Order: sequence, then C-alpha cells, then structure tokens
Amino acid sequence: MSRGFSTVHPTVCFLYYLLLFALLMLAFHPVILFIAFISGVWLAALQGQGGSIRGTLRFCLLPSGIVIVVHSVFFNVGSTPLFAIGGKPIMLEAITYGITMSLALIVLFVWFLSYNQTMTAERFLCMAAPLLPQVALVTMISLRFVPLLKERLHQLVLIQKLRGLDVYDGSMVKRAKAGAQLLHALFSWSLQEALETADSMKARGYGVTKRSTYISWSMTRQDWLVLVYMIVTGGGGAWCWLIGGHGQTAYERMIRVGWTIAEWGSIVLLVLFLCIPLVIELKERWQWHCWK
Amino acid sequence: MALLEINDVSFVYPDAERPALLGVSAVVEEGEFIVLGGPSGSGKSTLLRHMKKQLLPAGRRQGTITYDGVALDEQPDARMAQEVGIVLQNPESQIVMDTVWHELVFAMENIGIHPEDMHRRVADIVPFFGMETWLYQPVRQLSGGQKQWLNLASVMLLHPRVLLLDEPFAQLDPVTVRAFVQLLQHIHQELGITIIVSEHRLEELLPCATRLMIMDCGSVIYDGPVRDSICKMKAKEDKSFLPYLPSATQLYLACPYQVDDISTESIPLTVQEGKKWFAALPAPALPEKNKVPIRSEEAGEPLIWCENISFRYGKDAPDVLHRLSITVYQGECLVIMGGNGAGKSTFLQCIAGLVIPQRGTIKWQGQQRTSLSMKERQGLIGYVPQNLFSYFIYDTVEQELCHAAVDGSLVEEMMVRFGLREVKGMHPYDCSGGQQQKIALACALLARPKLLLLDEPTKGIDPKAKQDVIQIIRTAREEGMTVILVTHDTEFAAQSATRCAMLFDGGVAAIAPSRVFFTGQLFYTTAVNRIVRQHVPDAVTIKDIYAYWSIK
Repeated sequence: MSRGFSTVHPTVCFLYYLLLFALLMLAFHPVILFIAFISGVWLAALQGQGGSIRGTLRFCLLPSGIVIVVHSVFFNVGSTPLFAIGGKPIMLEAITYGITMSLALIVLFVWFLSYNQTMTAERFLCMAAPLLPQVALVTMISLRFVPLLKERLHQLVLIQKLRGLDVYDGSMVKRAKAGAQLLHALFSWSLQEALETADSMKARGYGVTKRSTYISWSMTRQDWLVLVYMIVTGGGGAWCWLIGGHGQTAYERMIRVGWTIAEWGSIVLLVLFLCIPLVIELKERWQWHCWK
Repeated sequence: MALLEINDVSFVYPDAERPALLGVSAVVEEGEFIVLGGPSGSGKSTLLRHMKKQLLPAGRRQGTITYDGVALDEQPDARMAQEVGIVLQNPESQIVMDTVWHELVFAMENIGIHPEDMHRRVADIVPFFGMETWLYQPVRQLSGGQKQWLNLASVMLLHPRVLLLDEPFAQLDPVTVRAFVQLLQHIHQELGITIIVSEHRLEELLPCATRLMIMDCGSVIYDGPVRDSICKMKAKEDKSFLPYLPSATQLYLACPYQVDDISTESIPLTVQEGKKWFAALPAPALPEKNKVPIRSEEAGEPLIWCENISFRYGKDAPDVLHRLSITVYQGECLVIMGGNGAGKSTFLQCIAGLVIPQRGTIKWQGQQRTSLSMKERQGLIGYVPQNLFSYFIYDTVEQELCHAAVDGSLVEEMMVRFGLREVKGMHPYDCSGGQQQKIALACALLARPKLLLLDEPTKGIDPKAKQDVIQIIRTAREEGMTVILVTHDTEFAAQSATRCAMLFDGGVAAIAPSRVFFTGQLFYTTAVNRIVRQHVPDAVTIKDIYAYWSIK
C-alpha cells in the first residue's frame, strides 16, 4: 500500500511535480540543477528505487556525453577560450552550458523515477476520474488491453512458427506476408474476446445509470499543509529568481560571477521546496524508528 | 410465486436453419441449484441468456419469460443487472479492469452504488471469497482459476438473487474446479442464492445440485430432482446421456446385476456412494481380484531422448523444468500429467522447439542431432496448443485445412472423416469447442507429422467430442504416429495413454504404463478406479468394468 509521499492527495502530488518541472526549466542554472539532482536521487533511494537509479544514470551517460561534446564543439560563444581543436577555439562557457544541459536531462530522469513511484497510473486516473469520467474509464480499460494484445501477439508468433508462418525467416516478401497474416489473426482474436468483454460489461450493468467511483480522496490536514507550503516556497522561489536576474538570459547568468540577494533567497526557498517529499519520507522513517 | 418462469419459449438465431430453443418451459423456484447438462449446441447457453435481460440474444422469439411475476423485458434494467448475475466460460475475456480491486468494484460503480455502501460490500464479500492477499495485484498475474473466482466475486458484489453460470469450469483444472464447486455450494446453502449452472462434466457438480435438466436439440429432455431425472433415464433405458453423468451413476445405470428393491434415494452420485453401492452388489457382479486382463503395449524404438533439460523464463525466475530426463518411444501415446505450473506445457514447447532449454539436450532418433531447423520441425511435428485462438489464422475452416495440408487432395477426405463438412465455410471461432479441437487436429494430421503434441485437447469439449478425439488419436497411432499429450483429465488419459508420466517440481516424479500408473495413485486416478479399487484394483475406465460385465 501507499507510504511516505504517496499518502499525499494525488492532486497535490501532481501539482507538486508540475511546479517542480516548471521551476527547473525556469531556473536553468547548474547550482540549482545540482541541488535538485542530489535531492532527486535521495528521494528515489528513500522510495526504494536504488536499482533503478543506477540503471537510469547508466542510461543517461551516453546522451549527456553527446550533449556536452556537441555543445562544446559547435557553439563557440563566450570569452574564455581553453584550447583549440582544428583551429576552432573551445570556450569554457560553451562547456559549462553543455554540462548544464546534460545535468538538466539527468535531473529530469531522476525525478521521473519518483514521479512514477508516487503517481502510479491508478492514482493518476483516480484523480482524473471526477473530471473526465469517460476518458479515465477508457484509459483504464486500455491499461489492461495493451499488455493483453502484446501477450496474444507473442503467442501467435510462437505457435505459428511451427505452422510455417515465420516473421524472422525467409525472403522479405514472405516475411511481410506472414506478418500481415499474423496481424489479421491477432485482430480477429482480439475482436472475438472483445465481444465477450462487451457482454460481461453489459451483464454487469454498464450504462444503466451514471457511474459512481469507489475511491474518493479527501484533503487531509497534511495535504493542505503541503499545498500551502509548496505554493509559498515554490512560488516565492520563482519570483525571487525572476527579480534577481536583472533581465539577463539564462546563458548570461550562468557565466556571471557573484549572486544578488534575491537570488540567494531564491536558492534557499527552492531548497525548502525540494525538501518537501524528503521531509515527509524521513518523518515516517523517524516515527517508525522511535516506535521501535 | 416462482422466481423465473419460462413459458413455451422457442428461439431461432438470425440466418440459422434450425431453432436453438424449441418449446422450452421451465419454472425456477427461489433457492434451487439447477444443473443444466447436454451436448454442445443443445441450447444450454441460449437458454441461460434468455434468463438474463442484458444478454437476450437477437433473433426470432416466441413464448414468454417472467421474472418475479413481471415479463422480463418490462423489468427495469438496473434491477435486472443486479438481481440476475452471470459468469461466462472464458475467465480472461470477462475482465475489464487492470487490477483486482478495480475489477471487483466495476459492477458496483456501473450501478451507481454509493461509495460507503461499496466499501461495506467489498469488506463483506472479499473475506468470504478469501481474496485478501491478492486484492491489489494486477489481473495479468492471476491464474485462470483466480480470474474466474474474481468474475464470480464481482457479480456477487451486486447481491444477486439468481446466479447463472455458463460452463464456468471449462477452462479450469480439476483442483480449481473442486474449490469452485465448494464455493458455489457455500453460496447456495449459506447465502440462499438460486444457482443455474450449465456444464458438460458433472462428476463434482451433480452431488451439490437439487435439480437436473438435460437438454438436446433445443428441448428439455429430462427435468426434475437429480435422482428423479436419473430414474427417468433408467426407466426409458436411455443411454445417450450416460457420459454426462458422474462415473458412479454411469456404473449404476449400466449394471446388469441390479438389486431389485433399490429406491430412488440410493442412486449413487459421489465416489463414496458408488463404493457403497458397488460393494453391496450380488456376487456375480464382483470379479475375483485382478481378473481384468492387462493389455501390454510393446515399446517401439526410442524417438526422443531428453537429458537433464532445465528451463526458466527469466534470469531470476525459478526453474520451470529442472534436470528433466525422459525417453519417448516410437508409436506410443505418452500422457503428461501434473498440477498447475508443473511445467507440462513448457515441456511440450521444448520438444516442439518453440522454446530452447537453457541446459540439457533433446536428441532425435536416427539423426543423433540435438538441434533441428525450424523447417525440419515443421515436417516432423504437429503441435496443437491449449488456446486454439493462437492456432487459427484463416477466415474459414476450409482455408485453415488447405493451408495445413501437405497434399491438398486429402483435405476433402479429412473433412468427411472428422465430420467437418457442414462447417467448412464457417469461421473457426464460430464452431463449437469440440469442432475447433477437431479442426486443429485435422490441420496437424494433414501435415503428416511423425510426432503429435497435444496440449489439453479435451478442455471444454463435451463427452461425445471427447470420444471422437480419443478415436482420432488411436487412428493416428495406428498410422505410425507418436503422440505426447498433456491433460488434467484422468478419464481421458486412461482411455488414450500407453504410458503416463507425472511432472512435479520441474522433473518426472513417476512414469509407468498407463494401468500401473493409475492404480498406484490416490488422487491422480479415475473416479472409476476410486470406486472399484477394493474389488477390482486394475480397473481404470468404465470400459474395463463393462468388459467384465460383458456388456458393450
């Protein structure tokens, strides 16, 4: 069942992640991204995703490397040349920008780990159901249908190999023909079962009246607290960051030395914002520890 | 007042030549447990669908159906959806949602039941069904039996007065069927719900029922309290429905040495009652020990050697097959039995080359080779899977057969032999379960394989079709084919096997000639053997006893 940050009302959780991703895009700065990276990894680890973090980082290694190299070589804007490749100067600023971009990529992936853990498809649909009941229902049905379709296709490919229909063997034409035949069979099979599903839905009163929903979330005291706290810290952080920038672009800010007071305030508020799920997770652990 | 009244109902499906129901009348009282028997296509499903407003089939209909005194089509939809629940044959296709709890509440949400009431009902029904531990699992992780369990629970949450079940056990294994029958009995006795079940095999079900209806060609042939219906059969000397009854009852009805003053009450339905009745038979009916001759089958040359094969589906998954060794001989019919998840189907797929074992070798006779190409396998092996929807790929039966045939001129002959002429223009899906099995077998045989691999060929088919399958296997063996089949059906295994093997925990736990195999087991043996084993330990099938009594 749900624990830690997952106990928070799904709408509040969803708004939190929405605000978080918006803030990261707005404050495109290596320091902020680095803090977000640390807290994201910590949260994912607390939510029991140690294995996935390693997988994600390994997955990100190549794309972020490419981003850094491409950016350093092809964008020679800046004033601090480090060295030259083939007569072309490589700027410190370009490298910094490349690193920031790849860092943003990694941070996005890391936070998505905890997003998936917190906002499961089921919780997302529970949130969406009162707003868009039909869409939510169709989405839930397809959640079951897609894996079923994959399993059926797998069965067909396996069984039909022995009957001479092989999509992995023979000439291109023969393989294409076999593929078409298999898809045709998959279609008939799924249609046949869908007819039975329709019967079973009808038999259980689908469409006789307006549907009700089993799960109804209500906002608890903690949910309101989280909501207010995140609007204050997140919104405040964004505001401070905007007024502290003197109208400079993200690129100009990145290479500027020294920060304004508003920017310092923004960093503090953003750290507080990033800590919300961590605090909830850690609080639960602490309570458990004391209880023992 | 009767709960359901069906008054002289006749029904013809659109484009059908003969009626699916012909002057059917039945009165269902509250609290009955009715078993509906009869061959496929006799109108059982059509009759059940006539009791459920939402599933009334389209077509020409005569006669009246009333529920609780009011005509069925005038009853409000919401009431009929709740008070009459139906569970269909295929466990998989009835499920709409992705997780167990969501599927459970789907029906209640449709009716618009208040969340508070829904919570109460779930808390009430889930423990009754013992589903607490898998409430939050995704549906795809459930076994077939659990899926059917879930379908029943979802219907029960609507608090129905009548429960209709259309061949609910056809896709389940015998252990699950037993649990399911017990559950139905609880629902009937403790909750007082009226139950109507249609089924081919009544071995477990009939002892719980209060009333037996037998249908044929759209009409109700027998109807009445279970033992009265059987009595009528005996009075009429009607043997056509014998194979639908439990083994004990079959023996009773066929026995030429009847005690005269037998009352209706003493007709045996269960193994226990059968044992008692058999022991009380007069002397000539009881053979001296071991009088049934053992037919010895000569073993041919070895065809396949499996040596220490191990197989698992994933890196961290447990071994499905673990160091399994077995030799298959030419011309034999080897039956593989075992519980759910014992690796039976996986073993067949290993032999067919559809999955490759991670360790061990499978050697083929003559070639002394461990790997065959897919082309060679196609000529050598005929494989019929459990789910025939993955086997059929064409739109008509005839195309299906022509695609499979090595020699196209044999198709016509095969259709005549298997009685498939009248369905040749139909889509394979529209044929009955028995016909589908015959089409698949015909396809496999038309490829002229040396080895026939059959996975659960008797699943969901009626006793007549089962006899046909047994005959087809016998003929194939006479033509020199080797057969390996996987089944849960002990009666079927005893009639077709020369050797039986029991898989357990990934390996072969026992392997012996069929008769020796069945007489050594308590559970994995036929009901007939359990009934007569004290007197005739070697008798396994009804035919063995018939042979002793010298009747056909």
